[in-house]
Amino acid sequence: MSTVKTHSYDVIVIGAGHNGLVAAATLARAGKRVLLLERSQQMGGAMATAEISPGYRVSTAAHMIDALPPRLERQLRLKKYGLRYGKQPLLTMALNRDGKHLTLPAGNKPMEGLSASDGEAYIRFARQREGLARLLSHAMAQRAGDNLGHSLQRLIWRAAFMRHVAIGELTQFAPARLGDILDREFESPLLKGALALDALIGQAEGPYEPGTALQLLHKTSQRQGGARQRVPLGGLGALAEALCGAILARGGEIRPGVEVSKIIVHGGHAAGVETASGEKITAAQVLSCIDARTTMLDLVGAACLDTGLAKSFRQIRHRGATAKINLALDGLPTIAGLAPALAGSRFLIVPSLKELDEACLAFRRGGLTTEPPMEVHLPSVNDATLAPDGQHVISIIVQYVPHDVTGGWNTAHEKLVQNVVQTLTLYMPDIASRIVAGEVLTPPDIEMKYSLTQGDWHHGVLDMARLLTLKPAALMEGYGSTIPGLYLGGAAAMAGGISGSAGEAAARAMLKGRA
Amino acid sequence: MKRHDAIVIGAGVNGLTAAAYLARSGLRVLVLDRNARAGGGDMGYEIAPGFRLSRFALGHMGLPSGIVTDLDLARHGLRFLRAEGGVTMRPDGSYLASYRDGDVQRRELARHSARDADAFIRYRRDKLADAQRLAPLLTGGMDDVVGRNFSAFRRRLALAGKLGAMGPADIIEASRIWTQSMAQTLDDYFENDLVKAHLAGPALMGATLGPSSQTGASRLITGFLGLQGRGAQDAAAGLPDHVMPLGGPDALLDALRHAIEAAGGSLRLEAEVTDVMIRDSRVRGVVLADGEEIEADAVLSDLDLKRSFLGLFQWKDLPDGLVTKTGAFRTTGAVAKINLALDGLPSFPSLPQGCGAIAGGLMLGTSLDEMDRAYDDWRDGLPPRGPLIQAFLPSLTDSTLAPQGKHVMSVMLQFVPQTLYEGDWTVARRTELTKRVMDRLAEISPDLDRLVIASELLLPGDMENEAGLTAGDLAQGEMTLDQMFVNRPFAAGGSYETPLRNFYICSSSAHPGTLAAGMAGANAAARILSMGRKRAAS
Repeated sequence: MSTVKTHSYDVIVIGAGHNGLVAAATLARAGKRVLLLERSQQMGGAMATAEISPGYRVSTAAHMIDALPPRLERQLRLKKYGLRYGKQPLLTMALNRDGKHLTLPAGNKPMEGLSASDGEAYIRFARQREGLARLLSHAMAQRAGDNLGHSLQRLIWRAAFMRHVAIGELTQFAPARLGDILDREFESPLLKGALALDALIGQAEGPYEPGTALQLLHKTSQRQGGARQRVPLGGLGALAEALCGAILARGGEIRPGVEVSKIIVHGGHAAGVETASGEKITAAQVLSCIDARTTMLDLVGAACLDTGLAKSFRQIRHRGATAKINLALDGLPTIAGLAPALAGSRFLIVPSLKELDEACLAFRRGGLTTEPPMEVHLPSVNDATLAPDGQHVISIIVQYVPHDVTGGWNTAHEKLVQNVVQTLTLYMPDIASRIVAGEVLTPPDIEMKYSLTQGDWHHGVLDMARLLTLKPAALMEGYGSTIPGLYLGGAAAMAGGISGSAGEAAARAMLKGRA
Repeated sequence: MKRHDAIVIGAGVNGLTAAAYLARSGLRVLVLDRNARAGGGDMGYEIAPGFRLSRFALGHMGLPSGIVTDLDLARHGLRFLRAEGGVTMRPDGSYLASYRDGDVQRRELARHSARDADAFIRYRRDKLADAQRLAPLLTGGMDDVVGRNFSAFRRRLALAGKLGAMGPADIIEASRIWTQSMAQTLDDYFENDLVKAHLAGPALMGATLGPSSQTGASRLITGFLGLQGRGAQDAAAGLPDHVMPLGGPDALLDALRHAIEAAGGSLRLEAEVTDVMIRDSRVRGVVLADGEEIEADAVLSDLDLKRSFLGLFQWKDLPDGLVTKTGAFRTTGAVAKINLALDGLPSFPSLPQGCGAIAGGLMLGTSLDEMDRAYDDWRDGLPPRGPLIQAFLPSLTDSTLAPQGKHVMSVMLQFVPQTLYEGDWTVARRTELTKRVMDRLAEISPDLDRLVIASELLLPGDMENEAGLTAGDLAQGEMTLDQMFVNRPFAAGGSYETPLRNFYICSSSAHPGTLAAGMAGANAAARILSMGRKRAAS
């Protein structure tokens, strides 16, 4: 028997974003001695609640949970550690300038406010989308080591028993341009624009680029199985706190302000980390939840990697396409045609596919569009703790904002805010007069503040090649990294908004002891 | 009234190929075309007396060797010429050429980047392997592997089993090439902008995708598809040759025509089919513009999908949903052409004396970024500010195409919208486009302008009017992944048969589209013949 080596920890988790926190909590719950290291003082990464002006607090980066499974919340007892939601379920609405807004239902429920033909088309489309998304999730559950033939045959069997969708539709739908599909199905410009924005938000591609239909399916598949968009009371920082609580309660250790500079590889096996201050911490296993490219090329180093593997990490392209604007308001803005009770919904703002496409063309040319597409949320409507009495905060994700804007951000900064406020005024006429304070995060700001290369939420462009393999390097097996003992659990390993899914999957793979 | 076993509407390469296969099997075949010249998008013409070239296409034109052998086209006078090379030139005097010989090619690449010269060996090997994986899918129909019946289900399971036999590395490579963008793939191998542009330019010609559009990478392998036998065995070779028929496109079309006539078939030009006759929900024949009716057991259409269904039928006769499905098939024009007759060979001062690579064509060098901007302009409906320009001098290789010492030149312009956002393609806008292109060409060949005897600009709209190509789409339907294989011509309905009995699609609107010339015609004919055999046996 070989000598038993004792390590200070069973697992070191690098990066306390949603994936890192979920992974550490899952491992701690399974009885592992876990150490979570985070470079900044703040836990949560893009899940952060901060004060933008005295008394006004808002989720500064991400502003919604995208798909955290309710099962995971129960398992990690997040309620016990303080996670609460508002009473209202979060509705998604496409705002219309004439006050006739559309509410986008979840799943394949009928939608109101559409013409008869659009209404029928919507049901048909939603069924097809749900069916194809289910097929896609089965296809994506495929691991690199599985026999492809068997997996495909299983997929074909499944498809044979699905009522609303045939396998042939997947071959046509997935590589198509989302805009073409929506143009074929629907009349309403507002509906088409909203469906496309919902699918593409955070992405660097326009609605008329091939493969964007696959992104719609990917979004749909994420939201299946009960996971839906929610906003915790106290903003997304509250989720980070609850997860920290779950880790600490199970004996896990959290150290903020510690930057990992190197992953120690000993005898071909990950053996711990070295911090920027020179401290060496040993562990039986290491799980990195920061982006895969940085992990493998900077922390591990190309010298420890097979040439082909190093290259495939170098190929991960980062391309941010969003800005974030948070504003403090001295009262609830009026939204034409909307009951104040619904003011806490998630608003999609884009009049049609044409505007979305034009915004993307401007983005591709390095410029800003005058009427940017946006996802807007007023969290203080359902959560009075965020702003002083009667006052509000508004959180805006602006879509198609280039990282390297023509002319530089010094001059473009003002223009971005101006465009956003002017566009919002078309829907909320009194918004400009209500602004008392604000914060603007351009893609370079997001990059700096939240350690997201190029301001890219997804740790790398979510293109078809990546979605279909959902691994940063297709050569890798599952969530392991081909270095025994090192696992990857960042968004690059399994993308999909604030969901913790990559972290959880990596933690489970570690617990099963498979790579 | 005359009777035929089969009528082919449209004398393009696919229509003539289909007809030749059917005639060879003993069917009485008639090919009808509304134009005075055969060829459709591939027709040739005389731009000035004695100056002949391809009217709409660049002029590189091959046929799969299987078709040439099957139809014994050599006996009917068809000879192919091979032109080596192709050179991308930049206004600053730098250039990059293609060579057949692997060592020469690598030396040429090494002038720009030693790393890229090494990478080229891997690039060529990988793309050739991709082409070899693709080649077997081109022959035969996609059949109905996507249907909902039991036999289709079984065929799918069998196909999945076969795919599973591929190694994991093959699967990863195959999924990359069909999902990645051209820029991603080229970035994976190369570092030099000129090298990337040189490889991307020809692959982008005719595309409705930009270099950074997903799924575009597969276009890079089409150049290697012709390399099945000879070139494929030589692992250390350079870039593939360009193939062209001796005597221009008309020579190839004439050989096909002779093959049809030798087997008892016939071709009638200036015979426009205006209607297809339907009786008892079966297609029975066609009606010509002058009212003449011709009956046939099978009618094949070499027109694109839209012209086939929306143009030849009364819409009320079509089965439910067919009009919608046909409407959903995207035909989009993106190329224009300038044809030139030249009084002599233009000089290219930046090229070394006697550089043979010019015979393979020349391209004006830009970068992938500039190509992306040209694509964005096209999407915006703007007249091209910086079009991709690719030119070819077929008379350098084939002296029969122009009088002694004189030349013809094909100039293809990529990313030219069919309709402009700002209005019609007026005479002024046409002149401006021609001028812009000639100015760009003057940067690499200062005396070109002086040598022009005749010049003609053909826009997507002209291609639509003259060759009957909807929207001026030379591919008869966008070649994007959602319109290829099992999804060509219909979503999840890749077939040559149509919902109308006895009516078949044999044009590029059907699989494999432009991946292999004449293949859709050959496949459609094979389908009809196999059905005939089944019927005879039962």
